[in-house]
Amino acid sequence: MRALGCLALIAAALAGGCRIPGDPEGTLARAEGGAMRVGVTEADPWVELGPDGRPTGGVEVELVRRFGRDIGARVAWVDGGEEELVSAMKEGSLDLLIGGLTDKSRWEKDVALTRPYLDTRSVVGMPEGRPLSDELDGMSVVAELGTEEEGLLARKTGAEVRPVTDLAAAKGRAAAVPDYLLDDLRLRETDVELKREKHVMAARRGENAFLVRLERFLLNREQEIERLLRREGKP
Amino acid sequence: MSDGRPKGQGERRPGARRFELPPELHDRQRKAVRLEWITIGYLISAVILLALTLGQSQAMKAAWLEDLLSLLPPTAFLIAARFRKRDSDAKFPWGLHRAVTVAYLFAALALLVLGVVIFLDSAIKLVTAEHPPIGVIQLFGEEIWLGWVMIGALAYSALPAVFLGRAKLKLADELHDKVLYADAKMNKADWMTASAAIVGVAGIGLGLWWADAVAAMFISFDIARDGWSNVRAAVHDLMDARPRRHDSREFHPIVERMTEELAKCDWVEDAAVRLREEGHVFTGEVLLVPATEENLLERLDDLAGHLRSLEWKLYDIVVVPVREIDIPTPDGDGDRRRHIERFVPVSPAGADQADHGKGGQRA
Repeated sequence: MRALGCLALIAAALAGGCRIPGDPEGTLARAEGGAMRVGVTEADPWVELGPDGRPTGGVEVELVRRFGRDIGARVAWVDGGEEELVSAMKEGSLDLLIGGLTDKSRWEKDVALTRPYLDTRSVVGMPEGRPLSDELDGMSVVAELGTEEEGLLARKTGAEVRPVTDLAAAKGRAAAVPDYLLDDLRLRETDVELKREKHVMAARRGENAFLVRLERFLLNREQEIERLLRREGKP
Repeated sequence: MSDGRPKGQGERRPGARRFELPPELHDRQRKAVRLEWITIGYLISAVILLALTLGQSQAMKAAWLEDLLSLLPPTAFLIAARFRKRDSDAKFPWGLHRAVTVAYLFAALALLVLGVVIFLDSAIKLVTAEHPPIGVIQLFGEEIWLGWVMIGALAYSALPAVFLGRAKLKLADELHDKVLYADAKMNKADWMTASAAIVGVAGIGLGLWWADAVAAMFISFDIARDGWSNVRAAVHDLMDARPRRHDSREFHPIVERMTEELAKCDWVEDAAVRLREEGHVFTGEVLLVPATEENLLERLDDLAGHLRSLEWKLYDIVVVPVREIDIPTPDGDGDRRRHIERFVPVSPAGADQADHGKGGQRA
């Protein structure tokens, strides 16, 4: 009886040309050929905003622009703090949210996170000529002031933490940095890994057609994303 | 049925028996044990498979929790099967038959908790208008909507439960086994929630966010009701309520049966039967006011042996002569405790039949 009802529903959907999965609120259909409302919050190098709050660059901003072209949507940017944007998204005022979110996001229950489209790590890098030892006791290691790396370095290793306000100052010194900065800072990676992050974007919960379309877009373009990251991620 | 005493065990009190199940039910029991092992193995595989495809869907979480909880009844059954046959000793003077009742209580509680949890969970999902997100998964280099994978995993967890449940229901009937009965109900709950979750996921696929919660609510109600009646029955058993059939629908007819037999004894002036359930088997007392004290011990022994031969579930009964009877006796089909309503004292015409009854054990 139930199985019959289920089959009938699916048959009706296929006959009616519905897509599976569908959007309860029709987000994808509205965005295609229309406007996609995207919430942005500053998170270097993922989202960079100008003084007027409009995005000037960043890996995720560029990805969203390309996604918009892919589905034929004009992108309407809305800037704000994460909580503000999440609340707006829950009410259906935003379709997509970016800002350096990871799969560990605290908003997991409020938004639909995509599958991770990129993995990054924070590691300790050594300048040329220094041994790649994972023994850091007493060694002075640079970390950006007020970042998670600064705290992790102090907690997980015996290194003497040297906070700096600008990572460009880490050139030629042992430093705790995201892996994509190693080349620019001329550092070589050691085995000391401080954290791993899986990067995601957020869509409105339940808008599964939109979510699946976005995920299909993001998957299988690792090389394109790595190129973007090398371009956007500068110390 | 044949004489209950195993060879070489010496003479036992005629009212007591050494083994639990009559020989003709032994291979039924073995079959039940095998079924429960299969159930456990298969449930563990389903739990792992569902955990891998869980994602963010609440419907799937309920189905997964359900499979986890349904490990409880078969485990309880197998543990009880191990303990219940143990002989009585100084520490457990009545033996360990009640292991089965304890297992039954756990199995029934699992059913009830499951129903209530799923009901509350779905109600909350409905009220807060929870929209479950389901994205894509990469399998063998292909991107597939996770919903299809979930439906596959749920079907895997549902289909065998249908057949396992049916087979157990039949065995529970033959073995009069309440744990097995509760477990069969659990298997039914299993495939029902899984199919509800399939409907739910399919509904999500069609953009009907509420389909899942509504389907789950209907089914959880059914599960909770099953759980409640089984918990009730288990608690009644532990409280030494009058024995019922394994599906609790009606009283076990044995008390009437024994009362009838007692009525046929001409040397019994008045009698009352009081039985309790200890797992599979019944134990209890027969109180009687003898009309004569001549050969009393023999008469009591014979009567005890004869009464026990009426039903394999009668495991240990004690026949005690008393001056006056002051325990309530069943009044046919009601639950109500009614004081002292017993059979009409024996008519002399019934004496022949009573003789036949008495001789039964000696033959």
